[in-house]
Amino acid sequence: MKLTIDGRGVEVLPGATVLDAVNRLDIELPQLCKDPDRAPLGACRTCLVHVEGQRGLPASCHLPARDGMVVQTTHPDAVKTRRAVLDLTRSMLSADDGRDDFGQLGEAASRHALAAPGHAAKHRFPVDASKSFFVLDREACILCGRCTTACDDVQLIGAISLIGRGHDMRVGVAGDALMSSSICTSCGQCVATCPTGALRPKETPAPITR
Amino acid sequence: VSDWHAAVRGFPRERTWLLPALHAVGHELRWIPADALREIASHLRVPLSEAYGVVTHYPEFRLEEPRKRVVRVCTGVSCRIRGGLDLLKALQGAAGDDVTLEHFDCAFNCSVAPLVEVDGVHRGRVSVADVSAVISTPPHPALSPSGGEGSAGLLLPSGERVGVRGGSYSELLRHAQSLAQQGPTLVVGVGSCSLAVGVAETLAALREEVARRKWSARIVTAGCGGLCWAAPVVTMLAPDGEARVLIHATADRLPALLDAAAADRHEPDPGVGDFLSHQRRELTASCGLVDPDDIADAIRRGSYAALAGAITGGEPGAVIETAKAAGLRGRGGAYFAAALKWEGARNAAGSPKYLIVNAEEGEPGIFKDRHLMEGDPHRLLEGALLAAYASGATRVYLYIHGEAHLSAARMARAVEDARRWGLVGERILASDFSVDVEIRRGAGGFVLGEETALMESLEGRRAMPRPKPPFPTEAGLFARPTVINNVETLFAVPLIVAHGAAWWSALGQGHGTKCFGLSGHVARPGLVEIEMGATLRDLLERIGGGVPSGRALKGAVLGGPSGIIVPPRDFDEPLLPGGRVNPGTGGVVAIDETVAVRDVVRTLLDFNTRESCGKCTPCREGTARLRDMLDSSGSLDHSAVAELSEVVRVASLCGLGQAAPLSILSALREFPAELR
Repeated sequence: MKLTIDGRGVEVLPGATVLDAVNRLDIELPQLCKDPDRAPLGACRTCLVHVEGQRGLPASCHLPARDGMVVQTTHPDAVKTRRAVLDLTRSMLSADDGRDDFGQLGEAASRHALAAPGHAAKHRFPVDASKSFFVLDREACILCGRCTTACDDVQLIGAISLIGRGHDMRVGVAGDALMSSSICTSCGQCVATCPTGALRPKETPAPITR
Repeated sequence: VSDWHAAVRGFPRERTWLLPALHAVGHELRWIPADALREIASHLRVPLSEAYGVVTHYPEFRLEEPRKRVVRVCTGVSCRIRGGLDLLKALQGAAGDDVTLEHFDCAFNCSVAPLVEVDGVHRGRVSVADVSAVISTPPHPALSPSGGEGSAGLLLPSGERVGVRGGSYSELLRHAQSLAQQGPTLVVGVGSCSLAVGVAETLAALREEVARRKWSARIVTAGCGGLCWAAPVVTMLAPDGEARVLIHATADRLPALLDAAAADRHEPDPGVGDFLSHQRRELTASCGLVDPDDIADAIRRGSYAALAGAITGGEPGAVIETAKAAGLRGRGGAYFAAALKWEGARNAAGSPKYLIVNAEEGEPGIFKDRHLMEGDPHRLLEGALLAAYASGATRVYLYIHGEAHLSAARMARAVEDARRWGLVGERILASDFSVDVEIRRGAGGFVLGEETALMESLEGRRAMPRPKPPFPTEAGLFARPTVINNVETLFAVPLIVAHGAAWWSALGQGHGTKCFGLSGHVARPGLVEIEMGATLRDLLERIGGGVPSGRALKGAVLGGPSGIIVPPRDFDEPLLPGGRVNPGTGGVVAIDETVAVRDVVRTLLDFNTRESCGKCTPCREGTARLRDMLDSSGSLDHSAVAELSEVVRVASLCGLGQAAPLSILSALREFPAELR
């Protein structure tokens, strides 16, 4: 199947998504909730594109590629809406306490010229450092669902889950208790897939000196 | 001693039973303690954190023990504009220490607003003056105070329970006819609406009066015929078909009404004629007449004839072609062609195939599906069986709202009786067609209106929409081909199969009829069925009787929290899918000139914010930011609101998120002066 993306031709196999085609061309498009190895979640709504002849701005991660499709990642409508979604996402986080770049989100925000968040922060969560090797820092969490998918679908553990709904949603464990109370085995899948560093390794301890 | 342990252990050890198990515990204990959640999770082999993620996702599950009594005041739009907030204020001063007092988004009983729920029992048309008395008066004994199965105590075992399994349709019909009773009948409309305004007492009084007067009349408990405004309603049916409709027939007024009728002094209320004569009652033809608990009565009125015809024809494709030719579109609000779903599932690889009936009516202000299920459950069942036949489904899930107890009880009875009569299960009507039907209950998730979220819920997960594709007809429930249809859509199917495609497409400019729950500032709130293409003026004035206070209408909320606020200048626009004024799911709340549009919009937006499933960023974050803008004290920046609304509309994952800002967008357009 041949597609045109931002004026460049690209060929993909049947079953591919538009995002696959975008990535094939190394076009920079935010895809915060898309783990390269897993099925799309469709949650972060940042990979929005414009497709010729199609209404709206579909998320490219779950848009099947079709032969002859003409896609623009740089269409003004797509950029404007994507920027607004990134702003909403960025406004979920607080930048103090050494959190500053937010990984993929930070990169996407600076590429879209988002200096400061447009909305005031709505919550404050303490960092959960109860596990030995990593922290859960909800002030850097964008609720994309990659970590809970990795824990459940990949490792078949289910130590963490999305909890609550609406604006109260959070990542956590049963009873909103500390991570250490859960069945987490510290396998590291969630840390590996987290796009913003909300789940991140603790500092490597200083080498032991005899 | 509560036996919730046994209830939990009774479930098969599969995740799909997570919600039913939570319901079982909630029913016994009124809340879900942490040890019960642990036991459920362990029995169903669901990781505890995920079970916690599920239980916190659905608003109906309580994670804290309530006090001895639970009083909830409805503050949805219909109730709040008719005094719901005043009731809440009055109760905040009056409720004792043993009462957990809450307000909630909708009781889905808008036609008897304002409403207070006392220990699970609805009390409608409550005034501030008597609200304290209402909460201290015990409900009629027939109404279960536990809040469990609601009014199941009123379900009289009136129908014939012995089936004729394995018989053909003509045998069934003969059997049903042999059970028919002659003579005059007194039909009492027993629905959620009338139960909230004293029909249980009316029914008891009627039984006494009939015995005292030594009348030979039979008493039949039907559903509500749509005249919620007049409830309780008793219809006297003479053998010659003459009907006398006694309205506002409360227990205290009943003897005088019966005296007058017996002496031929019955004066029909002109409102009844006005209310009915402007409607086109096809789907609701039997509502308020048929005994919903009597399958023989339903069969005598034509139920299952269309199913029998289709099965005898032996061509599932013929049902698809008929619905296609009729142009039947989904009544859940999206108006997608129903036959295309059936065809898609039929042609899809994979088995088994499923049919889901979406009876999780969860949009505040909309209550039509409850009326249909309460009034004529066998018609829904027949529609579901026809859709299953057409799409090749072998299992039907009837997914009913967790608080629609009367709907669930009547559907359960209908399914059970249909099974006895050989209409559900193996070899239906002695044919090769087999399908089983199972009832599942929701737990108050507004987002369950989204089809894939509902499927996640049936699988025992958080109700969060899936990205599409794959579409449900290819890979839906348990990744199998799945059709999901709304209650009202399926109600139309037996009629279309029986009368033909041309009959339906001749109605409503090709779109058939549409049911609406009518409430708010109208004289005659109730359940209305009109031809598509009728106008809001028809609904609000000709049928609804205008504003009772004589005040002018400011507008109408059309379609609940996903809908729009229509100004009077559009009241003469035809209601047509895809038209300028889209009929939506089927709820109309009239607001008069005293209502602040800003408060209405704030109520709808607040609901969308809290009930967003949380999965996608634009809906979860955007609706909250829009609510913040409305709540801020300064002047409202219209262009900022419009811009953010547009982002939520365009970028959200599912239809509900995309529709969340429609009410505020319509208010900005039509009532800018009210959003300063």
